[in-house]
Amino acid sequence: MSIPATETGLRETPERETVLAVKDLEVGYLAKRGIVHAVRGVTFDLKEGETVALIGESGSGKTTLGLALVRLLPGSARVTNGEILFYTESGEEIPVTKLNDEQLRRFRWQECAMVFQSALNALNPVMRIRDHFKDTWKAHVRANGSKGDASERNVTARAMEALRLVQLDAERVMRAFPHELSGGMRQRVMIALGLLLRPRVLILDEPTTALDVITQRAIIEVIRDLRKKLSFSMIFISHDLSLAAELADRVVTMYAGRVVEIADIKDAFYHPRHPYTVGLLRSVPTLVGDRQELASIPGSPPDMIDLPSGCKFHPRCPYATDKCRMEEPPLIEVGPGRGSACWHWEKVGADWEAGTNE
Amino acid sequence: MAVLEQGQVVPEPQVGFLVIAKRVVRNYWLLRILRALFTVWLVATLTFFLIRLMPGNPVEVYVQNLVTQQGVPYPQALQLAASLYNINLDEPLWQQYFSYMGAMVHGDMGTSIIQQGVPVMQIVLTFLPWTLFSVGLGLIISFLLGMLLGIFAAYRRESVFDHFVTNFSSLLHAIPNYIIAILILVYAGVQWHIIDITAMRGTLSPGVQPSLSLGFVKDALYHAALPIATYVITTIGGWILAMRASTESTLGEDYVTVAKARGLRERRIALAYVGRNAALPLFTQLTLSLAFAVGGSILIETIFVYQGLGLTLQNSINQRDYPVMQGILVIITAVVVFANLIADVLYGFIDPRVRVQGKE
Ligand SMILES: Nc1ncnc2c1ncn2[C@@H]1O[C@H](COP(=O)(O)OP(=O)(O)O)[C@@H](O)[C@H]1O
Ligand code: SF4
Ligand SMILES: [Mg+2]
Repeated sequence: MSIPATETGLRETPERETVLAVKDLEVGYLAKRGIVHAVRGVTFDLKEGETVALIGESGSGKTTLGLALVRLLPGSARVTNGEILFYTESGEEIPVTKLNDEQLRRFRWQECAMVFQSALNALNPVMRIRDHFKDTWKAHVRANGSKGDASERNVTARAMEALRLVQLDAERVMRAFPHELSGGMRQRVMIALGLLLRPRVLILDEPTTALDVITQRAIIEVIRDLRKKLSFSMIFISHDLSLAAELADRVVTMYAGRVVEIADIKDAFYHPRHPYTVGLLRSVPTLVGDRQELASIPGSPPDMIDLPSGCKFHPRCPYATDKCRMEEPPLIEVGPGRGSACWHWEKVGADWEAGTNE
Repeated sequence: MAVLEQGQVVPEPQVGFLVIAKRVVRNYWLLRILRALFTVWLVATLTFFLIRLMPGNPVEVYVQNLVTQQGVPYPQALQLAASLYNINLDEPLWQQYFSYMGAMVHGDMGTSIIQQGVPVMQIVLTFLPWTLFSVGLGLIISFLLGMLLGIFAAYRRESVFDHFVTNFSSLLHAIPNYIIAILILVYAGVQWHIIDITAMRGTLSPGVQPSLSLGFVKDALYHAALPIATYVITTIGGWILAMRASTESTLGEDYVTVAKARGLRERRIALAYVGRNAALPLFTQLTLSLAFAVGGSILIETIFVYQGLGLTLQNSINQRDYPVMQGILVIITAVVVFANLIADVLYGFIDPRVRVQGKE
């Protein structure tokens, strides 16, 4: 009953072109104690110009999924199943998992750029920002013969433009070394660097987590502004639903390495169909207002090596029944373009609409 | 906060000496230079007294030689020695010290007792370049080669190459330099006759004059080859191990992963992101290594009979030639201390993070 990736999408514009399709992806880490099941059969897609928020508690496999998309998983990781398909502007299909080293190198950043979770150390401390842009440019764009100088001027112009887009003092920042910039500025530089080659997809992995609240706001504003000016698709990874609410068109909720709910932003917030999403919403006071008092989800995330039987959420779920403990629910189609991996989604939905969630 | 009420004491504007003292303390480089000078002075003072605490003085050593080797009666030998050496070792030690220091401030380090009348400075200037040449070249070769092997080992971690290089490095690292020198001498020179150690003695072959010709350079390298080889063999293990460890930790840095994500070419990442950053901490060890190598040159130059400052020092110690011993020790210290200082200045150019700290 799981929804094929190609059938999900925005209700308003169902015809939008797909830029990225992830099919049944499975990733595990080899650890001393056993295999860490970080991503277990994830299927979703990303449409042209769309922002998908990847939401879930820390440890639910969001970063692993993001790294798998650009094939930058650490050596201990194994992709055991699945497909990642990328579609270029000309409609060409790129099977990311099957690329050779050189094809992969060209795919990275040119088609799909990723701003990492721990971006404060993402820039080489002994290189000026300018040289980071030059390096990136040179790696992907061939200097045409003797016109080396002209292309250099070109890089500078492009870099300055990108820096201005993220609202930085381009002249000054170009000359600076990373340590001369604040955390927020470095994060903006990373975003600007990500946009330098105008990739089709930009992945942002918790881009504001290491920053203070005011800087967080500024970064979110910058991203929002970029979304208006440029046409790229974005995967925004966050454990914070309220940030997702500001940027996303669609929300993919992950729990224990699995997608448990896919819905467009309004449905995710106002009509959740999964007890985990309900729990997340109840721990976000600003958005649900005074509807209910703030409550965090009881219990703790599961052991990713020795996972519970059946539905992985059952030890924490107020709706759990014997069926839940025995059998893991697939992603069930619960409406046009939306899915929930819950046996009792109807009851969960009814309770929510009645305002009587447990 | 509450202190900012009435009756508060306004700090007096500081004047004169205090202001200068504060400026000095705040100026990083001025402070570094003062510290360097202090170190040289300290070593000069310590060696001055330690040398004179050694059993036997130049006159006694000379007399001893006359009596035992030429059968000259003791009183006669004493007279002979007194007329030969016009030094007054009976002067109170502190008086000797102050006149020595006073002269040194003006760049005068006295004259040799044994080679009468020859200024110590001249002796030092004759032999120092050879030691700097051999030690310096040895260190540079070792440093560059060691870094290269270290980075390869780190990139091919757990490979046969890595295991071989790492174990071999640990072995070399553990052997003292004079043992290596003696092994070269005994095996390559005496047992297997691979090299002609007698011809390689000295710093230049007879008749070769210092000039900017290829012949001179070749000859200088030929004579310095054994000391240089010894310096390389004894220090390269340390560089390999240090670079391997440093590269390994740099490979785990976020900016390396991000560089991959940016689609940079492998070679560019290895050079500008991994190699350069991994090498940085090694530069700080370079000056320490220089100090060790210069210290080691005393034994190495003696073993190979290479006429550098080390061998000259060895000879002056045997003859208790106080001013020469003292002069060489002070100069060696000064060279090492100021090499350190220069290295720190240069380090500021390769690591921008240090530059900021150095400014204020
Ligand atoms: N390099 C690794 N080796 C082993 N386990 C890992 C590694 N990286 C992440 N994990 C584990 O994989 C799971 C998912 O982690 P991650 O993808 O970082 O989650 P998230 O980004 O949602 O916080 C966690 O249980 C985490 O402990
Ligand atoms: S399947 Fe059962 S345990 Fe899992 S979320 Fe739904 S109700 Fe809860
Ligand atoms: Mg993460």
